[in-house]
Amino acid sequence: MAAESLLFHHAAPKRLYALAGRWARPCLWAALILLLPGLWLALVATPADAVQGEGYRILYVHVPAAWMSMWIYAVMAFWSFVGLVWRTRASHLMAHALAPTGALFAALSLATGALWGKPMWGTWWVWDARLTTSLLLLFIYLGYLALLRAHEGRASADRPCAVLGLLGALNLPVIYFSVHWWNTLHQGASLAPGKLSLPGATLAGLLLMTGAAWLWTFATALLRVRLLIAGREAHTRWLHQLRAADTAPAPGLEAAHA
Amino acid sequence: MSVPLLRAVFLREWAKAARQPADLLRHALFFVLVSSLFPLALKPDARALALLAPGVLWVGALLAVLLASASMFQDDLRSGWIDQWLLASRATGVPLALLVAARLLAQWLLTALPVLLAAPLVALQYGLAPGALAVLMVSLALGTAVLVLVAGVAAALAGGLRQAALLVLLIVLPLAAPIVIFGAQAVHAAMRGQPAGADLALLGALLAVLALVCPPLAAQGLKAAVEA
Repeated sequence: MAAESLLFHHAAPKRLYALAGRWARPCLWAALILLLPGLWLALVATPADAVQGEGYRILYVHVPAAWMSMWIYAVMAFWSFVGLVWRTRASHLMAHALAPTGALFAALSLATGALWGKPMWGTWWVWDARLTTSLLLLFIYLGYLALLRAHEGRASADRPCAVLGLLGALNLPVIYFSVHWWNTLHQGASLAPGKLSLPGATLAGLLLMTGAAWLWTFATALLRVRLLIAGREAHTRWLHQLRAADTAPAPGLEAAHA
Repeated sequence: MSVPLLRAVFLREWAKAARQPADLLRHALFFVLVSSLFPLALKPDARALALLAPGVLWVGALLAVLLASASMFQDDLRSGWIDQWLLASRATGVPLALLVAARLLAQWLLTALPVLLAAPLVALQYGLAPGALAVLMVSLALGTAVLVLVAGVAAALAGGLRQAALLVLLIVLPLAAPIVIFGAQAVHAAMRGQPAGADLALLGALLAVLALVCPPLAAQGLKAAVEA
């Protein structure tokens, strides 16, 4: 009940705007704090791999990027569902704000995968099940962004994009189970509950990098949602007052909130 | 109360198609033309053709049906026919999703059947054996039905936008990948003399799930397009 009321409290664009303003910068700093030790573990502290040499270190970018590309889609589908069911404008805006970051991570996982595949498998690209489904995930993100752009920032984009988000979410299980369906070149998942095949330092580096990716995603999504709200609510008085307060000397801020 | 309404939605498409019968043949012709281009671009010996046949036939049929369905709702949204759907569904209590389902069924019969009828002709060009042809027909029948469902949602979402048809293609093509994979795999298996039941069953499962999911999603999209 408490979580629900918290969710709907921030469903008003005005409150979400304020919340995003408060949290974006701390998230960015926290991402940096996790990123630096993560990079140190990834590049310095862990030894080179017995088989793959130094080349395996791209894993510390590749794996978090691949995870994030899938997770962000799941979060987008969640916000799309919430927006469709409860008609909350802010949920749609959250989904829109997450999409570019998700597309970026999907592209990053494909690019780092190609860079890794060339020395290890001897080829930039193979039509392996996991690679193919990652490519399809990127295409689904791009289709979503194309539909979003076609509406040119109007509120009419909300429900169509949410419906597309849910339809694309049907594809996520196919991606996840593709390794089991078509058993091909790509190695299976290394991290599974009850079965760890990674040494401690590597795992710690991987988790730190993943945490940094999460926090960076939060920060960019919050910054982007502020821009989306500012574009959508440009005609409202509260935004004008807030803007005036931001440019005016400090006491103005108190007056705007009063 | 609901049956006459659904029949009216269904029969309108048939009446429209009966007035322009040549339009139906156009998609089938497109399918035949695209499939005939591939042997010209490659060396047409029997081994290469047998290797290519499932993929080329499947992609050709997919593009033909998709092009025919991409702007399914465009004219109806502009002319106010979809507004009438909304009013009728509100007046009679029939869910909009059911009207969409009737429309999609008509769409499948009108666009996929001509393509299916042309398929044996193209299969002849590629030297497909009768057993493989039968599997191809079944897989195309199931797969095009799935495709029309997904394209229906995308067409509803893109309804009323500029360049809607291109947008629908961009949205549907990645989602259509599993259909092509299962469909072509079934034909490959049949050509090797192996059982194709598993892939056909997966196509059937996709059809069963999407037949439940897609009409309500398309109805949501149409509502949003009408209100926009």
